[in-house]
Amino acid sequence: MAEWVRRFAACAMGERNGQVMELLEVRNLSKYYKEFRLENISFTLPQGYIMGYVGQNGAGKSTTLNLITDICKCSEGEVYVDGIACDKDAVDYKERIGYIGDEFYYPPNFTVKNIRGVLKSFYKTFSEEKFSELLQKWKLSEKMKVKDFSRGMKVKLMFASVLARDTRLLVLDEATNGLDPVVRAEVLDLLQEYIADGSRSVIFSTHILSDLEQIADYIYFIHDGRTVLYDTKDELLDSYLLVKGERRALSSQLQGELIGIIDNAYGFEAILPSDRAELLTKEFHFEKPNIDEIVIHYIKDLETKKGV
Amino acid sequence: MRALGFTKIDFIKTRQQLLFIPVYLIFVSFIMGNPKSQADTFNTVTVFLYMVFITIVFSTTPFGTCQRQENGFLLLLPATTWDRVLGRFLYGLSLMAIAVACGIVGAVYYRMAGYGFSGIDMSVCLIGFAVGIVIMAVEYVFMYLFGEKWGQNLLAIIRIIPGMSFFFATMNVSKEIFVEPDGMQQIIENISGKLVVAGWISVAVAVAIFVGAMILCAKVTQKRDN
Repeated sequence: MAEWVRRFAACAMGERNGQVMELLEVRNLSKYYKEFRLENISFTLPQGYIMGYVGQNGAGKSTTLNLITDICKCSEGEVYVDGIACDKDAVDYKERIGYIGDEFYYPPNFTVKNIRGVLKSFYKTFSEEKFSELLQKWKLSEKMKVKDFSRGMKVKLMFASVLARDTRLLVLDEATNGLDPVVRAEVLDLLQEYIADGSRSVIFSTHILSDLEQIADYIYFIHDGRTVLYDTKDELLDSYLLVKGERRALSSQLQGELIGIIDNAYGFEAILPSDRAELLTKEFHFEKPNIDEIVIHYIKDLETKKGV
Repeated sequence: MRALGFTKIDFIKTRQQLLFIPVYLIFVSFIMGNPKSQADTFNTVTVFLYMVFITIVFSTTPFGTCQRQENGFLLLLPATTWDRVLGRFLYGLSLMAIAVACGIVGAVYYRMAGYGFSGIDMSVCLIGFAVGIVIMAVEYVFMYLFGEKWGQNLLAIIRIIPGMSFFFATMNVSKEIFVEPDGMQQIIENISGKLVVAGWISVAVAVAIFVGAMILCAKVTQKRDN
């Protein structure tokens, strides 16, 4: 019994035979456009985990996800899903990926029945029973044209089409944008269900960082096409302190260590690496930041250094 | 098989225009059925050529209806670039087959109504069919090379012009042959046997050009961002 529990836990942690099984591996991924460069993005995502991919608009989040899903071709670098590179076996690679974007991607004059037919003819693992079950659960009519669906229904349909087959990696590109809190909560539950057996993973870009706070295991933060932070969520949250206080109390040493100082009516607010906490005197108030605050202060810091 | 999946998607996306093909057939048959309109075999050939013209216009519709956000659906389907391009070309060919079948129905109708259908008519139909395939191939190459960079309105013009040119050119040639036959028809009648052979050869050449165009489009698309 104890062995079974240990093995289940190992599987849930994305491990096999003591080794972490990387489901998604991104190596030095770059994409060069005339007006934008995404440079050297590298990370791994083990089985059974959720990664939050964050950054401002135009930071390169969608570009990265489009490169992972092979919607765009990379200028340099490699992506492996379950050890398979897309250029080696595009069909097998894409069988393993489910993608849900900010925009609804089915042709507007398709009915749900049409979508079922297409999915059935393309995906080996597509289960009609599971698809029907999900449609029924979410009250989506097969006869309706998808252009008549609400935003929430469209997101549910995209989820139904992905969850009705055996994917290994779910790529969500701001999929929860514009959803009401109830549907958003449902989506977050779905993601947790999706990874529950420990064999699948999710990479999830969103501006709603509180969602990531709830479900993400890893955070990857990019700005202007470059990596800023990449760590487990818990490690990241433990690595910084949110510091508040009055400007005049700041020593030059502390000021040098603070990241993204933002002045407000009560003084200033910034984040500080936790290992520099000894610099804080009793004149400062500090607390554990959330992801939102870390990102905002990092962006402020980067913009200040850039002279924006 | 995956290529056929893409053909199916194109048919679903453009299903409304499929309904128009028989409607056009009835319309053209009605117009050409006016006994005062033209002489003898001209009607039989015109119905057939008109259906080829319709295909040239309709076959590029999927390029115009594909919206950028559909990439998340189409490009993520487990298939290769070759499957996608082959699927689109098969869509064009099958649309041509449907339209030509309708054209044959129209031609048979006129034949049964007592209009003539000679070897010359056969060759004109074959050559018209071949020219239609070549125009479609050229349009597809054009669409794959420049489609996304051009505005929808311009694309619409590009879609219509080759078809219109084809139709009016063939009508003029047919008129020369059938309606105002001074001298011209006599010459053609003398070589009509060879013309039918030439018609079949032109169809074979057109199919080869079509396949070549497909390979070119697949190679170009493979190297390009979607």
